[in-house]
Amino acid sequence: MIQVLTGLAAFISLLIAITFYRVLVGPTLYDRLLAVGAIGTYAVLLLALIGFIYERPSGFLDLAITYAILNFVGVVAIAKYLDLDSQKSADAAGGTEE
Amino acid sequence: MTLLEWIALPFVVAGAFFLFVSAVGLIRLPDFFSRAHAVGKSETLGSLLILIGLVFHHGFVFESGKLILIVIFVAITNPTGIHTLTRAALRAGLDVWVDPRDRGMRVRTGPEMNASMAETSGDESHREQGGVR
Repeated sequence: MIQVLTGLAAFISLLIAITFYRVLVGPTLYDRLLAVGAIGTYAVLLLALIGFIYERPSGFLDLAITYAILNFVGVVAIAKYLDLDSQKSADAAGGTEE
Repeated sequence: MTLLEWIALPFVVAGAFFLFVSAVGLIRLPDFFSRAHAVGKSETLGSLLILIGLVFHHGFVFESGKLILIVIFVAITNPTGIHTLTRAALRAGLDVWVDPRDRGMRVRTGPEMNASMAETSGDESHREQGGVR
């Protein structure tokens, strides 16, 4: 079973590598942010798997919980900031039109 | 392999499959909204399946409680985060991909969408709320 989990961890690392293409190339800022969030979720899984592979799951699972919380807060904060920015410019554009 | 590990194996393999589908969707789909759809659903399901597989693999001890905590947290927060991001993109007026066979068809987003919604409903309440709930 350890071999299966190690293979899965390698597979998830590969998925992180191909997801990173979207971070580098992604045409818009939102694409990049989406890919960063996806990589964060992969990292949570990778941390849990590493904990089980090295047979020390307790500490690594704490790290995984922390990483999941930080990932969520980071993505929501940046998305809300971008939303605020675009609402401001939309209000300014609407004001000059009318 | 013990019985619990044989139970865990299909969960882990199915989770790996869904994660692969999600990564392919993120690379291959044509615009932001369809990519968000790939990540928001497929990746959440794949993560949940792998974590549940790990719960079965480890047996039901203290660490499984932490794993179930991660399962609940990922199931709530991953779609929520992507929903927030997608709403920000919609309000900013990001282009929506349209099938090339539907020439001339356009999907209105951002300030244009707010204006058209205010026209059709005839009052200003939609504009005040930005058009998107």
